[in-house]
Amino acid sequence: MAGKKEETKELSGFSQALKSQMIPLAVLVLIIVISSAASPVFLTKSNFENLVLQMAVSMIVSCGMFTILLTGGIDLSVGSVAAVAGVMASTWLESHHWAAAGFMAVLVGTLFGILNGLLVSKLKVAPFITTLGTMYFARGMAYWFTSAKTIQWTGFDNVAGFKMLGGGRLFGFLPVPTLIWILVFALTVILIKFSKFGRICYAIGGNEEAARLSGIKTGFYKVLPYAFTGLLAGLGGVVLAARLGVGSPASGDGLEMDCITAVVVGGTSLSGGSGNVLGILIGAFILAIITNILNLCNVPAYPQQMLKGAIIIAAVILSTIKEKKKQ
Amino acid sequence: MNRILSLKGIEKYFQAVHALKKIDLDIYEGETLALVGENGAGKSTLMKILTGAHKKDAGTILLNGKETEIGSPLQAKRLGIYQAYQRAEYVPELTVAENIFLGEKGYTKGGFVPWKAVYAKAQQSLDEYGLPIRAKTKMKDLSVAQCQLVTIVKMLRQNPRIVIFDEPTAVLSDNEVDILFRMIEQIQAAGTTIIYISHRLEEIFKISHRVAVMRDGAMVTVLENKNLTNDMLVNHMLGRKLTTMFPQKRKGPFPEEAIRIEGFTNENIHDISFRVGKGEILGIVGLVGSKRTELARAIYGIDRLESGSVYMEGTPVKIRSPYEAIKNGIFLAPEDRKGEGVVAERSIKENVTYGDINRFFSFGMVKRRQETEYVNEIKEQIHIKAPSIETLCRQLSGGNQQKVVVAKALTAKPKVLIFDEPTQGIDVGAKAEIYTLIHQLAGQGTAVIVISSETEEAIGIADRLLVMREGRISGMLTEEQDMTSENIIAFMYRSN
Repeated sequence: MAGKKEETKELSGFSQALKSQMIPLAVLVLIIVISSAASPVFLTKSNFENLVLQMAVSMIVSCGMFTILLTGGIDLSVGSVAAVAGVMASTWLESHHWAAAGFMAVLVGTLFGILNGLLVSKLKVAPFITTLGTMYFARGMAYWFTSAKTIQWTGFDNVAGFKMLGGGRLFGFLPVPTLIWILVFALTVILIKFSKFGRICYAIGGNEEAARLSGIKTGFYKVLPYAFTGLLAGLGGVVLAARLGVGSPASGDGLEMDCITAVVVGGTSLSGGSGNVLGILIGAFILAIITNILNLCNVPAYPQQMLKGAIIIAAVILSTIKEKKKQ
Repeated sequence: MNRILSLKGIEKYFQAVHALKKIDLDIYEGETLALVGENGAGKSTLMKILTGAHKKDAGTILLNGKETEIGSPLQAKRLGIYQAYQRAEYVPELTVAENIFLGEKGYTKGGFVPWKAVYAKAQQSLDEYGLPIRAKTKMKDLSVAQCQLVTIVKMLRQNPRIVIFDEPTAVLSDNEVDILFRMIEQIQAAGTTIIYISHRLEEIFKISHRVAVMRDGAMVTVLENKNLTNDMLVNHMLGRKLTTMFPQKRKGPFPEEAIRIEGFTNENIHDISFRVGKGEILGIVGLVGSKRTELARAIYGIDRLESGSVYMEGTPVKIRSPYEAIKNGIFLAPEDRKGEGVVAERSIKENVTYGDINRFFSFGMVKRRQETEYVNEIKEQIHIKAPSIETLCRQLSGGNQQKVVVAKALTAKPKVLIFDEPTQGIDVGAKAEIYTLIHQLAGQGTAVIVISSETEEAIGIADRLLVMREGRISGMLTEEQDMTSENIIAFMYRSN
């Protein structure tokens, strides 16, 4: 009896989620249809594999960005933090085991995240300003650390594991970066849907004062999304360095915008408190497909950038319209 | 006399709440009409319809005998209807003169500010109304009261035909009240029509020609200000008592102490001490501005204390945040439901379990079945009307939102539960249910503190009543027979 009851609720919850994702889903389908018509290559297996591989870094970091946007914050520093992690991992590969180098780099990313979180939560600096600051700080650090040189780690000894991380395939067909983003996304879904962390992110973004007066330690919980994002930015930077074969202090440029766009296109509100975790996937796919099809059609990089800007504005306009309707 | 404004059958609903019930009112040109009534009687709502801030749901407004629709605040101003607000709005970084001229046509000439003229004209206006303020002073350097007087001068420069004052003296000292009254006399002499809302009855006797009394959203009567007494007005304001709404009180005494407050003092409250026994309901009443909510915030660790201590069941405790308050067994159901009570975009289920979030999670992961069963149970128990526990709080009526807040409070299992305006803005049926819930809680041994603006409600529900005035305790009524509106009002207004 009780089991039955739960089942019906589950269904209504899922259909509710689907309903809230209607617009992004429709856009995704539309873009797929247009793309398949525009290029015969688009629907091939190899192109799809490539597309899914290329969205790895932005997808990994978008998962963190989503949790921050839920709380009503923003993180502009992810691209620079990814660069720091990338160059540090690449440098440390020379003298350390590849796993240790990667792990330490991810740790550095996490520390940046914690720093952002503490500034926002304890010192009450606006998230935009805080992360704008750490964005410059981290970028400077990446250049300083490498003396502005690109680090070619492929020549170092014992880097087979790191090569595997960027270019290997599990069971001979699943690229490792793809596997990593799928795992990160799965973890994020679990965190958002079933964990106390996810529950509290929504509460803080929806009404921080109500959450605080309910006895929730909002000060502590506001740090966590930034720490989580810092960790993922570190991981993203390591994966990027592993894929490219170099640790470049210029890498990850514009990553923050890619992530914010993906999450907002996926229906998450910039003002916090509302958004569905599945939206990350939809948003990231929409952006990846747009880039992919424009490349297939030989559209140069700069018009692509212009289009991305237009997409950000369109997505934000859509979300403000949605919010106005609610009131 | 010429009827400048004539209201006929004005109705206003806020969802289920019938805020204004067929209001008929005539206002004559040049008169000063006082508007009185308890908090929530509908005075402010009625004024908001006149100033275009709210739209009426039915009825007609005749301005000088001509039917008029007041669609927006801007339109109201074009018609010459202006309001002086309780909380003045101004730009603190600009000077008094700039604030006075902001939005006026003569402020700029060809895109530039003719400073000399602006300062001279502003100073002239200030002098005209007897304000001892220099036009070149920055607004931020003035006191709150002075700012309010400046914004009134700004308003009067527009030559309004009808001026609405809503509690203008709430933040003013005696000296400033004198200045304000001289201003009012001046505009009375100039033939401007005034609508004056105040809780301070002696002011009303002093300046008004007629007094309109509102109660529960209806216009009760309009009296000539001749031979009026305090008692007469108060009787009209309170009306008959609806005692049937309230459950039977449990007879005290309540010897076991749940909470004791000693010497609570901060910038808002002064030397407040009281105790509440287990199972007792303490009512706290007072006028707007008597700092009841600030007392609750201090107890709950939101606002800092300068001095004072709290004892829970006789043991001193330190409370510096809501988190610590809850850990020590205190829970606050706040006044501002939308702003502080519920997370509107989340479900009933999530809002309820915020009250004790750790109970429903193990190793950080939700115990779904336990949570669902618990919330379903409590939803039935306190009759939250919604299709499912997944319904978003935004979609609920005010009464049901309040029940969600109550459910959250119950989840926290507090020893002391503070309700700040538990029935504000909810309909009569839901009110009675909330009262029953409060009594059930007390019956189970919870100490309950109810802050209320409705005297009738406080009398109906509380075992003891604490009256506050300007941040201090002005009276404590412990005996049932002493808990009368007359006594409460005497304490509320005493020495003023």
